[in-house]
Amino acid sequence: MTPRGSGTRGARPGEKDLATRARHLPRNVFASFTLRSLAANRVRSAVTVAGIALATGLLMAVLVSVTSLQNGLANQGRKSDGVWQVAFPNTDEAELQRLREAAGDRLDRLATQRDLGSAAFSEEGAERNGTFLTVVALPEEQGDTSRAMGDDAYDVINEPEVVEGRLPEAPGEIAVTTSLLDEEPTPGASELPGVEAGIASDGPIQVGSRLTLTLGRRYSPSTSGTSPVSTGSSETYESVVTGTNPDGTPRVEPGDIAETLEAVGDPRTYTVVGVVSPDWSVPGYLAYVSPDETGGSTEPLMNARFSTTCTSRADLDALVESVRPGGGESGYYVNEGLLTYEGLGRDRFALDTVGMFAATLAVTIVAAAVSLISNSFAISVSERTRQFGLLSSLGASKRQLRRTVLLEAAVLGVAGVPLGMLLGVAGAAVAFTVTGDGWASMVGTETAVTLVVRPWCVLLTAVLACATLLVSAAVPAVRAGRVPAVDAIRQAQDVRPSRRLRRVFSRRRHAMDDLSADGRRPRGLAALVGGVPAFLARRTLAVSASKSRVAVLSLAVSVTLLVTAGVVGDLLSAGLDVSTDSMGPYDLRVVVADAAEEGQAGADGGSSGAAAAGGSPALSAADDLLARISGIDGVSAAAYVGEGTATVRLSKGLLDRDALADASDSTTAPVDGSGYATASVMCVDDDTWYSLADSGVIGLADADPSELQAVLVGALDVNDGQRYGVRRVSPADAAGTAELLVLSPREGYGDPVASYDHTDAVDGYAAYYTPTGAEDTDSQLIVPVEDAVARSTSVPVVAVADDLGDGFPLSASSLRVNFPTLVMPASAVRETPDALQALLDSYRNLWVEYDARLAEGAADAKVLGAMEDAVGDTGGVSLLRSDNIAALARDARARSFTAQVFLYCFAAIMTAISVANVFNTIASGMMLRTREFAALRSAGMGGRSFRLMMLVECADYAVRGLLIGAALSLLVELFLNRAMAISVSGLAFEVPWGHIALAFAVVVAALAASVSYALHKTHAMNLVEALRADAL
Amino acid sequence: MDILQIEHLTKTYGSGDTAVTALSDVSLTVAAGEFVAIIGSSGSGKSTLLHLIGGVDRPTSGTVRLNGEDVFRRSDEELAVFRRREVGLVYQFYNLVPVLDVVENMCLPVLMDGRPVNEARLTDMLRVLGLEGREHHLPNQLSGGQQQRVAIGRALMNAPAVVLADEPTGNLDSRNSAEIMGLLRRSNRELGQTLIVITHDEDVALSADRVVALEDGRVASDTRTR
Repeated sequence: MTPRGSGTRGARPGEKDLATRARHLPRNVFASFTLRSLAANRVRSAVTVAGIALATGLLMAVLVSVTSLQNGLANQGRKSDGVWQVAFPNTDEAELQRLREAAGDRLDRLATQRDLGSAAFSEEGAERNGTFLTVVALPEEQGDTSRAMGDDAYDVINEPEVVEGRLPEAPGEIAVTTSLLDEEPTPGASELPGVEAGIASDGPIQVGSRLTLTLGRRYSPSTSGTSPVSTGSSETYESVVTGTNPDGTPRVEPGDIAETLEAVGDPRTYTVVGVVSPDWSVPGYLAYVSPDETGGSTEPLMNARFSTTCTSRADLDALVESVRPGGGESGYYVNEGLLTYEGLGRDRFALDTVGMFAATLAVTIVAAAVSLISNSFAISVSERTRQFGLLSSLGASKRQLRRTVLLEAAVLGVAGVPLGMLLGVAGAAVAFTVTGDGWASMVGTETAVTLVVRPWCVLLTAVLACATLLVSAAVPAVRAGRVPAVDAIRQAQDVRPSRRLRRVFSRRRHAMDDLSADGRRPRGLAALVGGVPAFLARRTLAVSASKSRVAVLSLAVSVTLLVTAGVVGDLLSAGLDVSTDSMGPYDLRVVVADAAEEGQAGADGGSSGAAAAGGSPALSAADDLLARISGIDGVSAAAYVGEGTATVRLSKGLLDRDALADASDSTTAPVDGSGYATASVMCVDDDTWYSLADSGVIGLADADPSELQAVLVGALDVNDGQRYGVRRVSPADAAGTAELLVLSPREGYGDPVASYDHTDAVDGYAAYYTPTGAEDTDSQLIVPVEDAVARSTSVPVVAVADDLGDGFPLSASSLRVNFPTLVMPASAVRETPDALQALLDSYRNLWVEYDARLAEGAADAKVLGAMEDAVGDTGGVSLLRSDNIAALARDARARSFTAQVFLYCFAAIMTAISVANVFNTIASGMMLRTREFAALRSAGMGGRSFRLMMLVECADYAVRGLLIGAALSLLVELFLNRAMAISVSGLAFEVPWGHIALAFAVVVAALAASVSYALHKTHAMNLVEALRADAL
Repeated sequence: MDILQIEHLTKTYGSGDTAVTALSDVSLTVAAGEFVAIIGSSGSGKSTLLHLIGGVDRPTSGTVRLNGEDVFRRSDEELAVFRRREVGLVYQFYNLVPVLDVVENMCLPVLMDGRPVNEARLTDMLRVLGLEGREHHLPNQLSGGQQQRVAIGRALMNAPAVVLADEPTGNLDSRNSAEIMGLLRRSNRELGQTLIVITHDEDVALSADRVVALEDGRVASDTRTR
């Protein structure tokens, strides 16, 4: 408040204010015009903001979902593989020191793992275990990195998973993989020339066994000389060094094993303290010792793996190259999967399936958003044509007018974009919470997929949303600048006759050409059917063709999205039904086989069927085991099916040979109805046999399970990519016998196989004997099948069925995989030695599956565990497999539910965007016609006629939108159906009437809302005011 | 014979403190074939009076009888029929239907009534209105004067009891204005068309049979010029 200061102000009061105001006046004028126009069209502005928010939200949700999913996958990878990014095989302290120096703070975590060397199995042991057993120390994390042990959620290198016992903690302790359990290493020569087996134990390997290993260093030849082989391949290199190339490098040619074992240390005996899961990512077998272990090969190796905080692949590559130049296979390798999830993938533009899917969705969303927003701006500009013309006549530059529109975009964006980002994150959070189980089931049950919002997602969404706004506003903005001042002054309305209409008019010469022949109505079909209102409606649609196209297209998009979402949802559930149906109607399953055959069934077919003459423990103990399983708390019902194969001879008439040939060209069929075949033979418990009578598959007279009889499954599931369904291959009323054959063994030959077709070699059906150990078929012994048959049992076929009813543990589709399949009562088979022998003969791969239904509220995993224990308690049998069908079905349901939640959310939001578009287009179009409506009313159009006119216009939109949308979605459905048909049988193409009806309801509702809002607004304006309508 | 009888016509817009009385107790009769000019300053109630006569708006109180029938005893639907049969309205801003061509615009009231268009009358009017060769043009392909001639054609097409024109020349240049007034006068003289025209134009007012001056919603003067 100095006198001077106040004097200056006092001298020319207000002058500065005026100047300031004058300077700011133009901008203020345009800004206030914009804001006032937005406020005046409150509803349209709100709908546009909602559209921007929805589109932004959807973009955000898609990006957030994808990153969360990738993060989930990355976490799963970190959990299973560790967080290492780069591995340096065969490194040393000096190199690691160089790495530390080069990386500095970027070295996040580092772990080392020593490789003590490999021991060779004997030639006999190598058949099952591979050539080598490699011993590695447990990984050790180094504590001198920038974040060493800071984050202990994941290891750098994962420790193996302990199945039994514990991990080695002190020197002299060792852990082996489950695959070595019960193995007894044998001495002798190894597969490597001149190398003896280096593995010995004091009996079958168990926890507590003592294992003596003689470890050496593997060397493999390569063009650059021999190099040590670190943890890795059990493969015996099929190559050999045959000489020297002209350039001095060793010449390597295909041949025998070229690897050598060198630097062999002293034998050392370890105590087995634990059994761990095999690491399938490393070929060959590993054994683990403690990090403090010494000994082994005289040439121990150290491997290192580390993670960095590098933010780009180039940075990471440069770092690694600086420490270990050359790269390549022997140089180092990277955890490409994890790097990809971390955004450091080799090819930045290579998208995985998820990324591709997300990109497609994002493009769709942006396209829909551009359509909505640009349409909204176009309407805003055309509404203000007169205003822009007026401003331009008063000297507004094109640039100023363009800016007005862009300012409008900015205002709408400032409101819509942040709102949308919040909505998107919130929506995705809700969706992820609801569908947690499904994601867990898809990504891996151990890791929960949680919502991750990365800064780049927020940034990308904001950028995309703003770019969308800018693109959307650009065209209308340019148009705003081009509005000729004269248009505004002439008050010309934005009605230009379409080319078609101009052509129609140009053909009309006489005044009366506009009218029908009797002069009572306008010319044309619309007027004939619906009078003047319909005529006016059609004319309006013809004139504003482009505007109506936007509305029709938006409606069609909504219809397509809704119907397609519904159809895809249906297909998902259909796929789910099929996939769970194929598991059969029971909840839990354990499969057992004879203990003696375990692991080798079918593999060594050398022993003769006679060895099993005493019967199969799996089958003979079946009733006892079934009783035990039925008694488990939580089991409400149980059944068993023994499954094996046998050579059978079907009597004439049991087979429609043409149908079989048509149904399958892979199934070898008897040449006529009486040929030989390898049949799938199933033996079922008494209750299951009774259930066949209950479901009408067999007559009550045949329901006695002590009678030897069979049901023939006389159909095959056909699916060759074009046709799918059930194909009957036996006449429904066929009857006859199936003869179960025992073929006689021959000294020096394997199990004989009966032929299915006539062979010239024996002029009829043949049995083939392959010499033991021979691979080729040249030395086969071929005899007429009649001569090979030792014994046979004739089983009457009492029924032919293509479905064994709901009581049967196996699903109909799994029964229709092979032909022929015979089902017999186990009780009768056990009492008939020849039939049993036939079943056990040849392939000897009989197994019995026990199926149980869960009682209400029982815990599936616990009951399954009890079933496995029951198997363990039964002598002579061992567990082959157990299936938690209930859990599988639950997982499948959770996955399907997850997919449907995301699908419907996407469809619903896209539909909302489309509906907003329809609303903006139609409501604004009608409001622009306020004066026209007033003119019509003042010229004597009544309310009824007016409503009829509106109805015809809307019906036109609705019908066109619905037809185009329905046609599009049917095309999509057809495509999807074709795609699904390859993997899912029994899918029929159906017109999705339900979904179309829903889409129709949405279309009608959208139109009704738009029109009623617009009419409310136009009628709210007094007819007198509307007629003047000279307001800007 | 009085074709139009207006009695104690009052129109108030709004209510309470913001109420504006546009017309206050106006009574007036117009004889068949009469040409009445209504003048008055802006806001004197001229347009309101015209809209009430044309059945576009409803009065607060009072009656309007056309051919002896009370206009406002009709329902909205009947009022629409009244507008297309009994009156012809012409506005300053033409108010043509933008998607219809000249002939369709002109015939609209007849067509909405479901009656046949009289070909002789249509061609005759197109000729008189100077719209020959423009039959199949849309409004935005026409000049202002041409558009106003179409509006007059639409008003006259149905041979209404009375033609009501609200400053029909207010938006036109003097040559077009003269032509339009000439057409209106001609319909009045040659066809005996009753004509009520609101105008600011002194020449137009002087050419009428009678000049009614409105002031603050009341009839200030009612002068017969011939």
